[in-house]
Amino acid sequence: MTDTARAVSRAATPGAADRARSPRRGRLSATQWTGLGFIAPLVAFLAIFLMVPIGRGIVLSTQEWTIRSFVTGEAPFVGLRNYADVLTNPVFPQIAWQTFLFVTVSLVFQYVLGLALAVFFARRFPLSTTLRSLILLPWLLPLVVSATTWRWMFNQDFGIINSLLGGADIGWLTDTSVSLWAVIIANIWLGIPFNMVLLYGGIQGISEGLYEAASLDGAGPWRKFFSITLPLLRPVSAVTLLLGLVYTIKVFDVIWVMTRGGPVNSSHILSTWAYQISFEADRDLGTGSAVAQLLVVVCLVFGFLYIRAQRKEAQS
Amino acid sequence: MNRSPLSRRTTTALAVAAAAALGLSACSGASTPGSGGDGADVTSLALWDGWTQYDADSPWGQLLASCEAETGVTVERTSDQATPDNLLQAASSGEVPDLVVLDNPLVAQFAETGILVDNETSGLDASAQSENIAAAAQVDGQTYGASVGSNTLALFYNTEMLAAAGLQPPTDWAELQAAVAALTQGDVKGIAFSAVNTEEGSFQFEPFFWGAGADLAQLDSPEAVEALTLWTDWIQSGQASQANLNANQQDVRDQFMAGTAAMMVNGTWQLNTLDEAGTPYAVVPLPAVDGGAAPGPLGGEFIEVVASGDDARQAKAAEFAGCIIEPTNLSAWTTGQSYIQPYADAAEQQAVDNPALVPWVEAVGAARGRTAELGAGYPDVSRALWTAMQEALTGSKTPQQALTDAQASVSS
Repeated sequence: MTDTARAVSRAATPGAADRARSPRRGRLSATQWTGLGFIAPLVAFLAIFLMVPIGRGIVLSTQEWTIRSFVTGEAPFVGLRNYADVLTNPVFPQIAWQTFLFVTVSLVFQYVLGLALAVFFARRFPLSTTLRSLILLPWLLPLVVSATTWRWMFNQDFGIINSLLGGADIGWLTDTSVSLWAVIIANIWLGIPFNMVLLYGGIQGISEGLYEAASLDGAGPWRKFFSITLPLLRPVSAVTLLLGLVYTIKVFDVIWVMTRGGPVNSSHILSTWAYQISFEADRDLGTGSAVAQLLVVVCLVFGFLYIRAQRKEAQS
Repeated sequence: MNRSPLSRRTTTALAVAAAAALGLSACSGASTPGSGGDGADVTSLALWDGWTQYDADSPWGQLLASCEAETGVTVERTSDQATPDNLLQAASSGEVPDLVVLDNPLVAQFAETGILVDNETSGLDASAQSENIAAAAQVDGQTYGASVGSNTLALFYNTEMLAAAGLQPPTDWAELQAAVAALTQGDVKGIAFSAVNTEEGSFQFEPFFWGAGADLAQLDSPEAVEALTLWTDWIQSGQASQANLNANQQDVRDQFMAGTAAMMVNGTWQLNTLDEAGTPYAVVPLPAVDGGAAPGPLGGEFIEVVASGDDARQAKAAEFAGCIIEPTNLSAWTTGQSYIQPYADAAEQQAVDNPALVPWVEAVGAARGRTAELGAGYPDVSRALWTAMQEALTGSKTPQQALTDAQASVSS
């Protein structure tokens, strides 16, 4: 059958063509054109601001980029060599482990403390609203301000933390075995409001009646928490933890302001390491992008998990 | 304008090579100094610098204005702290300025990319500038641009504390160690310096590294180990604070002003703050191991002609830069900035006019360009050096081991 014949037969049976919904060869109806017109800005936005940078990042990670490349525009293709360089770099296992520790410890404590505060504020008491807004402060402050403040508080000689510990001489930011914990502590503090707000919202959604019924059955506060609050919060908890994970794995500013990943790489995570490789010394954007791509992969995996969790929640 | 500022140059170079191969005596415009037109038709130049704090009324603004009058061009000045990054981006898009002011350790790296024009090509005459200063801007025998003023590190000491301990300012390492030990009392540390994990950390360590006789080409020499051991001992004995590992030069100055450090390693850029605070201080050059001034790392900026691919503009830019670096023109600016003149005789005169500058003139006279030995290879070595420094200071490795590993990481 020729194209003309096909077109004729389709024109003869408009219903069939509609059912097949084949907008082939630009034969779009007015409605379809309008539809395309509406999604075009979104597609253009995604393409320009997301797909192009991501694509460029991937291309960069396969190039040998030096400071000279900016001027000449020449960056030879090296395949996966940048990735091999990263993975065989002697400090990579250490930094990967630190990233894991940073993310997990931050998440666990942010969640537990956020949940505790959410439960606490679920009860009404005088000034509870005022206090609850105060807890939001870390979230409202610019990160550079809070991180700088933490840097002062952790100062070994005249920081308030060491004096509160009775004049201890802990090198929070200068001792390789402690510096990672210092940035984790600051990051936990920063993340608590986010967790509290989401979980508080979740708790508000749990019916009072359930608690009343449980009380009548003689359940104490712990029993109510573990048998009602926690199970019913599961969908909210999943979303909180997954979002928290994506936010934590990309943390940069806190560490950069407090320690720049030091001393001796002891508080680097992948994001700060990628930055240091890319934009300091000889601006090795190729290797830096390779590190960044590793982060992108991890974020993507958890991003998909997040979307799945959301879908599940919508279904239930 | 061309997309790549180099394409024309590259073409020219190829043409010259081809002509030479054919045995012809070719004369090509772009690569012959002085033949690129006199720039008479260029009426405005774009200049980029990083001094956002200086407006048109500042000494820098006035210096530019006086040279505008002298050379008959208008300068469109753009100040941005991210000037080096902007210049790289500009280079990739082809929209480069005519002149740029760069911090001296960047010059070699940028020159190597081909974005800067050497003085022989541009016609900028900076040959009268002091040899040790010009060396910071030399790559492969060519000098790129000219210094607009220099500074370096020296040893600041609290005059009251030194007097109370009955000490004279140290003139070699033995005296320095004795002074640091004697001045450490209670909460007061004998000495403070910045040992951060950035270029700033290497910068602060270099007067000791070079003062011991070490060489950046060989990070694990016995002299280098001696220098790093000196710092490590100070930290481990508590004569210097471990907080120095996370302290930049402002933090160090704050310790000194607060009276919790009796001496500090710092530069001319702290003088104004110290004077305002009324801290009783004086300055001597940092001593080398066996006496005399240790070579400190050179600080200060260079004015550079950018490769725009337009000979007339480059010639005019060179003329303008030549006006800026005239010692008499530089004078008011260097005074306001506490910079030392990049000319030996003008620097001597500064010391005569203002005795407070005597130690600085001596220190700058002994200073060394960070890139003088290694050129564009410096940033990598510097990173290895501050990493080794932090490894030793935190006790993760011995000074010897840290420097051996640093040298291995650079050579591999």
